[in-house]
Amino acid sequence: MIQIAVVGIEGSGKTVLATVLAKRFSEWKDNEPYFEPMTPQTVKYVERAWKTLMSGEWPASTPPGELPILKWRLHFNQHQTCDLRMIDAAGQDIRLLFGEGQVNQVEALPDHLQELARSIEGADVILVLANLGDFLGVADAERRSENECAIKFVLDFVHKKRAERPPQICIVLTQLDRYQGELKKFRDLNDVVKKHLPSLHAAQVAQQRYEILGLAAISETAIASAQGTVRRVPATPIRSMGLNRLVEWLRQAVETVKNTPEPQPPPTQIVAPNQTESWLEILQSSLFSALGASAIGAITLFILYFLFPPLEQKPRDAPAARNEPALPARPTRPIPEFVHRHQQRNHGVFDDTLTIYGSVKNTGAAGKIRVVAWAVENEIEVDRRFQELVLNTGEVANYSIELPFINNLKNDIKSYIEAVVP
Amino acid sequence: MDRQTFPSLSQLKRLVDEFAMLLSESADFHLAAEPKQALQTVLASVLQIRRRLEQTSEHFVLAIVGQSNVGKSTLLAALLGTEIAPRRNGPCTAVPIEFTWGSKYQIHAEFQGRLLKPVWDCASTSEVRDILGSLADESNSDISERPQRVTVRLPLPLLKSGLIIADTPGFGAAQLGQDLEGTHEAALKHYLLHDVCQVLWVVLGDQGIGKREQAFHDEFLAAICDDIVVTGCDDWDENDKQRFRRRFSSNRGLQKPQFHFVSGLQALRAKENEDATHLDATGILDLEQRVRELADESGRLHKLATQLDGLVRSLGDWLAEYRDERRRRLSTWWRPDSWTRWKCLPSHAFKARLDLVLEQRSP
Repeated sequence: MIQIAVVGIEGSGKTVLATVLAKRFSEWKDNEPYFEPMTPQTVKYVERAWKTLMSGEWPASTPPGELPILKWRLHFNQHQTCDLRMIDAAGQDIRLLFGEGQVNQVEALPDHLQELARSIEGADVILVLANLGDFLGVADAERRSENECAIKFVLDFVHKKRAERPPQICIVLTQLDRYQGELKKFRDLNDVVKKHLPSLHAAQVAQQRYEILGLAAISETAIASAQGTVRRVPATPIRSMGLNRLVEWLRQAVETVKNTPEPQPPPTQIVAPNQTESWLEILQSSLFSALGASAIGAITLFILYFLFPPLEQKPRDAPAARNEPALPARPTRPIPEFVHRHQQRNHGVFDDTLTIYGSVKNTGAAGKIRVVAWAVENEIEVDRRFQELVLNTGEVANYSIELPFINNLKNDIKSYIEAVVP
Repeated sequence: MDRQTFPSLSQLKRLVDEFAMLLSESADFHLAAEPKQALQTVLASVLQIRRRLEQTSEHFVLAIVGQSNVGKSTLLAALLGTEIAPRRNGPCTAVPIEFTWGSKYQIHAEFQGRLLKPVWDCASTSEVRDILGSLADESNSDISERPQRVTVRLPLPLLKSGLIIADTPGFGAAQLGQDLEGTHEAALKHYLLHDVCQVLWVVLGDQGIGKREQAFHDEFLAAICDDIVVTGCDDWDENDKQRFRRRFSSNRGLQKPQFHFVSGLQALRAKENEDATHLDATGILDLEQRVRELADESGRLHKLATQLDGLVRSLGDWLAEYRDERRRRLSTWWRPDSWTRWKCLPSHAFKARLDLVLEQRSP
């Protein structure tokens, strides 16, 4: 079974993308993708959301506690067919699962949250939906970092969980029609991600783990006003851009996963006790800090399962330690060491921003490291920010901290940085 | 603003839409409360311009609005030069009556639940008045017999440009704030919100503008009222008028209101007697000129563009002078991606004129 997850914070366009994909490819044509709905609920879901779009409004997000399961048979062409299962979860449920630390008690959670947790655990293909507006359109650096970390940490832990068989991942920049002018400033989408999602880029994209695509499920919008506010709404007829490329990438990704042999577990695996923390614990420890402390924009996940002809299922979890030889004393806490440290003015989205970036290595036990940066002007601290990273032993990670709105930045401003274990 | 930088209707509509988005997104973007508030305030005014633009192209409805018994019907008669509208003293129909251009006198009425719309051809203004009077008669308790909309077509030069002048039922001060559902005020409210492009707000000179009138104005008229017509001021001298202006000329909408002091009854008599000498003194000619300005589509457009230009300049001045608690200027005025979208709009002379102000502290 191949499982695909679509991840994105609230407003990144998951419901709209699913609806428009299903409608755009709702007619059978030779050598064209075709989404064949397999349940009445799927038909109803799509038609309801489509009707809302056609009336010039955006579909409502899924209410907490509900977990609609949608099924299609996806025909990539006449010869490639698979079954597709999608779960549309509410952002509040994701916050409950991760932000409030309940993910480490998954057995005690309601069924729909357990289902969600299982779906994240087993994703083979991941579409990461990102609306650039959540990054370059947010002045609050902390909120911007939270938006980015919400995506990054989910992916980090998918990678950790699936290290032996990394998932196929695509970063999908949505609502691209709104950022055409912004895109002209860059050579390609990779540079866009590098600029606006630097942590994600440094951790994953730079290592070429990801494909990057851009699309607009609704490429033409109108402006509507009501009660003193103004917003963009879908313009009819609905037009889209970039869908064909996404479906083609999906086809290739599914094919790749299908053709990748399942890893054989080693005959004997020796694992130190402090390295056997479950993925749930790791998720909890990092995402709690990223999502829990402040009000993060809600996340919604669609989980898509492509059900291929039966494949032999291999256990995904590492086998439990069986033999434990005597080991030298290990550090019990993370020990940060800076590898590189740089700073640059006006590197960020805003003028008068000091960006401090580089990389840090954990030479201690796996855990969380906090990189703190601050600026001092005339012996007065003018700004202080931090970024938290969860690192395995020996792992190196990049950090990038913006100290925004430091006006009149002159030579007498000094910046400092330290890495601590929170 | 000269005619060379004058935008077309479609250009102005697009510009106003995108400027509203720029303001809205940038207001959300700013962390400090004051710039946020300033942008939202300007946004409210831009949305007023937007509403007027939406209604400026096809049917331009100019409504005469005011409390009961302030002289609306008399003023309308003076404007049209004939006493054609029914007097609405006492309980009256909820229906506004629209006067529009037609080659002959004709009345069209729409009734609830009826497909066919009855039409009356009239030979004279008195016949029109009689039929309108019977339509306005509320003694008929059968609600299906009451019209929902009445349109009168007249061969009057003032209406030839496509202007529609609407006579509306007076709003009673006593009912304001109560449940208006089912009353003529509910119909008036709906009409003002959905059909009217601009209003002439009629107030009685001796009474001034009361609290309840002001409340009604703020809720329903603020976005569509630039003109206050003062009646019952026949014996006022210039000092009295100045005093009234000073007292009630606070900023009530997009701009300070224009005051028109009109003696409706005397104007009607002077028109009927073709007495040009007295007509000028009644103030009706000044009001007619204003109505002609409003009837001119390009004139309306020019005015809205000028208002937008003024708003942008005021905002630019405010943002340039703004200092935060540390005496620092704003590092950027606009949300970066919103600004990029604004910059990508098709360029024309009017936009370039706005950009000169807006891009002072662009990202």
